[in-house]
Amino acid sequence: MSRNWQISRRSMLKGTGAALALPFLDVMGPATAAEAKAASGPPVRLACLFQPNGVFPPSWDPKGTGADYELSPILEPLASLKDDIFVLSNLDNCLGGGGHVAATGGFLTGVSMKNQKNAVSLDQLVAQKIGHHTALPSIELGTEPPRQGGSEGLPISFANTVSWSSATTRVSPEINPRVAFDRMFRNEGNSKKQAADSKSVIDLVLEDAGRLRKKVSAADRYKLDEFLSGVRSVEKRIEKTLNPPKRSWIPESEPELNRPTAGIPQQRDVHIRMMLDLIVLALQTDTTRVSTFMLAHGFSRKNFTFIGVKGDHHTISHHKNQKEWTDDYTTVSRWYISQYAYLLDRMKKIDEGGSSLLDNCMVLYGSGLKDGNGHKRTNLPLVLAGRAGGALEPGRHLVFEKGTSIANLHLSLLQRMGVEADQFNSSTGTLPGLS
Amino acid sequence: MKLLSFIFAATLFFSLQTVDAADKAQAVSLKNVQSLMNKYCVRCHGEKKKAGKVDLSSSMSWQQLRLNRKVWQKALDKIKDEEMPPEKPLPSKAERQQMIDWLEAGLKIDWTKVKHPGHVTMPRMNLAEYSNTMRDLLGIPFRAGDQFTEDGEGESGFNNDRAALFIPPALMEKYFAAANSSLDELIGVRLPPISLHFEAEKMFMTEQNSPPTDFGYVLNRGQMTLYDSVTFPRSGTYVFTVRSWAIGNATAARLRMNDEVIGDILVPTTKPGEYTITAFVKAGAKQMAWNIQNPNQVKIAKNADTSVNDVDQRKKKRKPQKSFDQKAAGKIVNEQAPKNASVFAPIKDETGEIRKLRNRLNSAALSLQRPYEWLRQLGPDGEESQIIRFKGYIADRAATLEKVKKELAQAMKIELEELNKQIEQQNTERLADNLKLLAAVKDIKSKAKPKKKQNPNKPPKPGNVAIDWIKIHGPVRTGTARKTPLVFVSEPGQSVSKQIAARTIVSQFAKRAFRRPVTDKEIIRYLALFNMSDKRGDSFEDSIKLSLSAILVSPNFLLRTELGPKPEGEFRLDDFQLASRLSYFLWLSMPDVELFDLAEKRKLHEPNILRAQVKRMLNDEKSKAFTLTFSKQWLGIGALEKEIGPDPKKFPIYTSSLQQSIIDETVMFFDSVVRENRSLLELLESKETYLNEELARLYGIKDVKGSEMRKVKLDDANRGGVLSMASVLTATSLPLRTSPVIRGKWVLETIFGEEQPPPLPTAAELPEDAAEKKGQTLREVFELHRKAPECASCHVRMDPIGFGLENFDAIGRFRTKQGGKDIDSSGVLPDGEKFRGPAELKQIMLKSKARFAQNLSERMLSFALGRRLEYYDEPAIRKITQSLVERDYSPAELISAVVESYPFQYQHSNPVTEETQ
Repeated sequence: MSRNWQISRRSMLKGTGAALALPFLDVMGPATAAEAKAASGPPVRLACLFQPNGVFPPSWDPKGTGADYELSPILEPLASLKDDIFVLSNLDNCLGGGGHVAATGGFLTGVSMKNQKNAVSLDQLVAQKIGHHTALPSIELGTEPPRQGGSEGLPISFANTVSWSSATTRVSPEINPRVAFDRMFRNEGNSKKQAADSKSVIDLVLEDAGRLRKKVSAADRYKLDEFLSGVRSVEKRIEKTLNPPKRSWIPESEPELNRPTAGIPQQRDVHIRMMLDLIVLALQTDTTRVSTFMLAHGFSRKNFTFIGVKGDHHTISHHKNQKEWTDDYTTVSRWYISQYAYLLDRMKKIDEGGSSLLDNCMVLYGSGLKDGNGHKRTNLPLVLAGRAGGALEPGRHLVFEKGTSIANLHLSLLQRMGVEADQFNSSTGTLPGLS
Repeated sequence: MKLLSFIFAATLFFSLQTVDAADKAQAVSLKNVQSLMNKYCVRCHGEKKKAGKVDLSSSMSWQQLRLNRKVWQKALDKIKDEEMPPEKPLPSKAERQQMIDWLEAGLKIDWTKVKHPGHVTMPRMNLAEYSNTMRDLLGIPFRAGDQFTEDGEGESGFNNDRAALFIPPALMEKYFAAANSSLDELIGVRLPPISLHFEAEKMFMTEQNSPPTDFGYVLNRGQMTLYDSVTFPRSGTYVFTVRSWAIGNATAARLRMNDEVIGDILVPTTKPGEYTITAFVKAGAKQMAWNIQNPNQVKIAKNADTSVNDVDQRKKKRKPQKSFDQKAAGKIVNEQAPKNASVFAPIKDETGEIRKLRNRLNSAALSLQRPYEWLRQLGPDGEESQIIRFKGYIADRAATLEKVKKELAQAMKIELEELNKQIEQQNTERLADNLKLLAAVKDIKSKAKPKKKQNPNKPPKPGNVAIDWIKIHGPVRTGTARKTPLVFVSEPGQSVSKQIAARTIVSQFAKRAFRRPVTDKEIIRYLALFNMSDKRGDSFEDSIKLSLSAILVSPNFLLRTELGPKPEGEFRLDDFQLASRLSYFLWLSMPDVELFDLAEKRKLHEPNILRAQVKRMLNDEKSKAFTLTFSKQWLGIGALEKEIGPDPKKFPIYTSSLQQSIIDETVMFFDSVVRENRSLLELLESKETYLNEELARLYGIKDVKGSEMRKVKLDDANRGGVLSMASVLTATSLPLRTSPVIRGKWVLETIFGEEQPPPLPTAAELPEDAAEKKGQTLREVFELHRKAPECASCHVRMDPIGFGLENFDAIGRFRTKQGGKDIDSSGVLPDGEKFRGPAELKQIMLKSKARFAQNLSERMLSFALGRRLEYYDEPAIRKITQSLVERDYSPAELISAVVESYPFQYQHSNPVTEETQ
């Protein structure tokens, strides 16, 4: 710490060097090839949609492989998007016990939860690596709150999310459309004002400390130095809000921002569409490059009477192979897929200068369970859409070697997001044939 | 006094030794002694090995000798007794004498010439002090929550050791956040509160195959989550009122906000009642979620039952109930309610406002009619609990209707009675019909059901919990209601401009926050922030907030500055500084109005006034913070809450509630001795203590019932005093067994202040479950290791004391046998004194009360100052100890003597003494 306090605070700031690095972004060059590419054109963005309770396998599994395959009854709503999607077969979720909660927790980690511990999830790791480019590192949306109770040794509340920022920290999704919107688009002005206020407060406090430092004994001067460096670290954070990092890419067209109505919509389809629209908005405006969406809680008991189905989703997922149940089960799954199709369709219609938003994204859809009946977790139902700016060549049904971990898919997506890694949790390699 | 090697920037000459000693010492050259020490001592006691944690390699000077007086004194003794060095090469007789002469001369201090108040590092408040200060400064409870982390203990052994209270960047962030949220809360209660109402059946439910009943939801399993989105306009304390009842046995419900537990309500009866949770909520839109909760695991039950039904015995005998088709009845209710509800017809030329209110009145009347229709369907012989429920709804909804009526009457500019008359004229029959329905069931009131006999070990199966509606009201004012505001001491109005009000508020706040007078110059700088915000068009409150938030993160607030007239040198604290030292010593908080007043008048330092204030402060409830912190940290029992504890498998009766009770016992006992100004020797031996049922059972004492701690007379001579308290006995045990060594060491160090050296690195440790496996008593096992001469020198002191306490097991239960053999709790102390059992041991301890007094004086002074003691504190300690012994070990006298002491009233800029001759 400088011994000479007679110099101005500003020059002090410069003088102390390493402890007071320049604002974050100025020293951050494009670290990877993908980031360098992102700096020139539309960046690659990632969206992961989670559907609870699995599917009825015979209604999901497509016939044929490669480009010549036939969409199954559940996947039919994707017919017009067949060239934009992969259907991925033979990928397994974490093995070991755990039912719905473990299957949900493993969806983006590939890890089998034990002692309430998971691992960092794909989306959160990407957010931690490239989140500094955007206003929000990631968004996590959902439609249901965490529920209480336990199931097979794990708290059911854990199944409300697939996002884990560390082995022990789960990120709870926002279910209120307006709150999610405000967080994305309305905070800026407010937080800037707050930051400006904080800056004024900090200037005053630094002055206080400086004055005090002149009056105290040599022995106590270090206390003030400690105080000063504490305040400066707050100052650094504030500076970041006041002078946000330069955006590496600015979309050509700015969409209209319509603030959702207050409260949670009563109708389930309305609620889900609102959330999907928010995802499109977030990705299109490059507000974030990472998003997850829980179409419902991983143990959802939402009713589907509005599409003519008798029971709630969880109950019918335990269909015991009875036709009246499996038919309803398939109807629900197809309804969920049609929501996905809606999202992809919207993304495909947004032009980003020669390529569509969908072309520049990777949109994963799937469930942590294959079949709710028996909680099967091998050969998960998974669809991957988009071209990742050219790093994916969709339009095929890919059947991998039996017993391939879903973590291999995570690693493949991670790398396409520009994160340098050759391992992700339990991965044993990347998936062949994606590009 | 704890020891350490301390590196001083300045080298200072030092001479307080007598002339005689100096002469003698001069005869021995320093260089000569240094080379002798290097040759014979430093090879083991050097920087590398630090045998026995003693490092004698630091450059030798008398100053160093005095700073580490205890270490060097011990070294001198060992050299004198020829204990050290223990092996070749050995010094010659002459060499040994040279070392002895030099060390003796250097260590001989004429205490009458030592006068140095020492230096207290500029105090940063610790967590408790910060929380208390925010509470007293703002007048609202401060929620440190889990934002702040506990401060560790410094070398003084207390967590108020200023030298150990650092300011890491993360803490600074927390100070900024805490300033903001506390001020938000303060301002929140000044603005009109919001009231929200949620009908449960209109909220969201995750389990859609569990439909709502006509009046809400019955939560029957953890997964059923009743939720909705709520927007809180301001951070503050909100009251959540829930209309709820149990279905079956007692039950509970839990409220979470964004997945964070806010609180639980205990719902003990089937009688509908209103339960409340009062909790702090931050501003913003939140997910509010309700779930059923196990009533035996309720964490934060803050419910107040204000049930609408009287608990009353039923008079009439009732016929057996007939079966009731709820679904069919519901249909009829839906049809009949609109037909039978009173309607207030449109008025000629009514305004829009009146029409709105009239519509609201009619819809309230319809909602009131529904429970009437349910009563009609149930009939007077219907199921009793149902009738009670619907009567409850009628009472609730009638109240709502009355509110709307009042508003409408006002809008129509007529009396309420007049409006009532008009409504009655239009609905005579309907209203009479409703009265009849109610009259038919007027005797049906809820009564407490006789409890079934239950297996006391098995809690009853919890019932389901019904939720009718939820009301949210706030922000509300909590804590002690104050007539005079603490912060908003001036309000802008006709005669007071915003600027003047702001100046008054900011200057008074700064003065209290900085705990000293403030200058106009200082105030202007903070006011500038108010002006900036005000000019921008922010509200008065928000503008004030900006100024105050700067004060709350100023070093003048967060650090307790004790500035002297000059930066360097010694000075006497002024009255304001003295007030702060006093209040942070005895209250762990800022001074109150009375202390500030006396400081303002420059009277606080006057001895009689100071004494009176100490007395007043000790009588104040706030001094509990002092007795709690001091007793827990001095006795080392706070560790039970953190890292230390018995093995749960071996000691299943050691529950978390027992743990709380054993700590409470010691804290309450110490508090009572201080508060009642009884002899501090009672800490060693007493005939009373504080127990509850669980703890009394541990001690084998009968007739103490309930969980509340209360004073209990002891008639067992083995119990009484801290040595026999479960807290101390457990904290000085290992997880699986007692440790006579740790207990002996604890007594010598904590009670008598005699620091014991750490064991030799070669010493083997006994396995945790040593005794039991071999079928020997612990004593038999220990005898072996006491035979080793290198261990015996210390263990001969520690072990007998520890074994004297062997009648207490690892969680403080009294026992006479261990491993099938009788416990031998007899012992011989090094001075030849014999004893048998804890009772006799305590009597021997009492004989060393002078040593106890000195140790307690040292600990108290160290706590009061917030620093470790130094050799130059010796004169003050002697004076305090003398006063303690002469005044019958009175706590008030001890504290007064500390407050009157030289180091408490003076401060020096430098921790090292300077040459004063």
